[in-house]
Amino acid sequence: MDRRAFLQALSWSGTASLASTCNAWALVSSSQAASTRRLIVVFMRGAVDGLSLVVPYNEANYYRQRSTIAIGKPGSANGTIDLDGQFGLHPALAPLMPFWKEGSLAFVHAAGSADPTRSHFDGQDNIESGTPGNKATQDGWLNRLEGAIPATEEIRSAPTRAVSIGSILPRIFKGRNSVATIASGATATRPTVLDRPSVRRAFEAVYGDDTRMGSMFANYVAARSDVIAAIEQADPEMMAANNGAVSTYAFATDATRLGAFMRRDPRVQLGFLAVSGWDTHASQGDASSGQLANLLSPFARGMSALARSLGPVYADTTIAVISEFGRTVAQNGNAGTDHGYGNVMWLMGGPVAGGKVHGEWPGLDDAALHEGRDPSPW
Amino acid sequence: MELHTLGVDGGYTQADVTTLARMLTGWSFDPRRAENDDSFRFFKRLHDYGHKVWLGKTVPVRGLAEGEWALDVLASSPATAHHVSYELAQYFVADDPPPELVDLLAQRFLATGGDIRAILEALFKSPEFRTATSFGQKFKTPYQYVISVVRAAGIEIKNVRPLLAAMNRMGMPLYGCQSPDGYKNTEDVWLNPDALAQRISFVSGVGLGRSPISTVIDDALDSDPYAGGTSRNSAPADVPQQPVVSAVAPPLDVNAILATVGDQISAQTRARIAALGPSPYNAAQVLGSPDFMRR
Repeated sequence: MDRRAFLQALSWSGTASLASTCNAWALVSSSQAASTRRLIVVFMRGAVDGLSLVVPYNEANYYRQRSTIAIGKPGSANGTIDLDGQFGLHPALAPLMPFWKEGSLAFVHAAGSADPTRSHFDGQDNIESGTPGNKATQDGWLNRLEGAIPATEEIRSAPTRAVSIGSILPRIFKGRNSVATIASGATATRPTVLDRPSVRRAFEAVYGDDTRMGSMFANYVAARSDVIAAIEQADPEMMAANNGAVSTYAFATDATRLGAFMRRDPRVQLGFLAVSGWDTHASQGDASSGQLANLLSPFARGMSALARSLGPVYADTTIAVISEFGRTVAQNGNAGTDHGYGNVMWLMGGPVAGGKVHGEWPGLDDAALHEGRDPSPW
Repeated sequence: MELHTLGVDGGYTQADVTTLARMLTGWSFDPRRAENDDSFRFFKRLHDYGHKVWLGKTVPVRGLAEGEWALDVLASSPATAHHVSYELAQYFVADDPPPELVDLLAQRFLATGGDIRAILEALFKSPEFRTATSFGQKFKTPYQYVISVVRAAGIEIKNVRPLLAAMNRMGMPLYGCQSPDGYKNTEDVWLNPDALAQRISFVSGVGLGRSPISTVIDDALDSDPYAGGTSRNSAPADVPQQPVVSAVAPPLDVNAILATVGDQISAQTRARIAALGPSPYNAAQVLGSPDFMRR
């Protein structure tokens, strides 16, 4: 898949592009067989430095412009882990190498939005609306996708067809279709007022047969009960794997819960998680220390936990890891990197043509860079 | 043109968008006078005096007046009249407003030079405004819901934080709209299972008197060290370290609320609440009922 097709896939369900975009995704209709495929989107908020994640270690300019924060060539001390003779993985991502080797992890390098904004706010908005440059879009593309993927009536009406981690619905999931939320970490199991049977009954009585809101209310109650049941099943497994502790890192906990939920309930088809903190303007660090390495190490463990918790369902699941934009090739005066453009996106899961870095690599020669500073996606 | 005047199908092209931007070149302001009414500035040097064709018309080259002319053209366009009328009818009548009503309002718009008062008068006097299928059938936005709860309950607001937090959780942070056309007011945007649960959770806290809306939070103490006439150089010794918090409010009185909201709550809903018998959640049942979710 080239990066343009990938981006079209991300935005295909926009009402405007639905009619005009003729690609495989847009051709699905409700008359076709229900899809058993699942999609999980992991958003690295803050614009992660893709050039440190999937390192183009043959590029002289990479080492010239990053005197203290470049990740070394394969074979050097703390060097990058070779992927294909051209790119190497950040050593902190070593837990993901088994997925690369088995062919279920791929990268699309120098990918990016059609809109070259350098604002986190606008960049995330573009990625989540799925309509870069069009600020009038109210809903998010994952929500539109939920309404568009073919499904049986049973799955279409499931209260938990889409699951979002975090108690506030992110932009990407806003819209008319139902999305269940799981609060992050320890707060997920904290009782809500409607968990109390007497309160639930008090509101069931007033919602009883309201045509529209009555079913919404019942839908919430069912989703909440499914979520709690999924967590109650997932947590003991996680604790057994972690010597009796729920992971200290919320991302791994959330990822494991989401994966386990999808494994036990085939109606859960879409999932979303976000991890922040990637805006490494200062002290970005190298392969073994600094902001980036400190964040990547638990992130890799969380991604690995997500894949493993999906169990057999991993074969039918695509996990897309995205960030709003990339970072400058050159390091700045604070041993960090600044807002850029093209970045690496990850694809993981059974259906992925893995073990490969996809996309046209434009190179990092000065002449190839967008505005003379960033990997160019177009 | 797209969001505030002609509307997305208003008959303009992308070239019209860029040409309008060129007509507005040189329009600026003086930041030093930003708080005055006269901060507007037109910089001739920055204006594009080139040839322009906009909405099918050749634009006379005349600097500042080009942009003013554009505003006149946009304001008097039938497409703008229709777009603004549609938005008003959608807000006051129905998510999918009757086309005859929109046409009627658009005619008023054009006849009165866009006098919103006259258009609203026509709207409120229209039969569509009062029909049973539309009256009281609009699903409240989170903002409208939160405000209507505290108003119906007659709560004196001394601390807006619980209200702001509730609007955040419901996905409508105050002044936090991400798109320049403002929050939508239609049901498809705001009604979903999770949002309903957030509303019930909010109104339960309010109904039980657990939401510190009437509690004075003296945040001036930590946000503005010079507030309250204290000396600039010496903090008074007796300033409490924690915000001043008074007791949490008593539970809301369901009968007082029912009397206030009147026929907004149907006889059927009243009977259902009564059938379950007295409970501390009675007020929340009323303010969290489907009837009260609509306006």
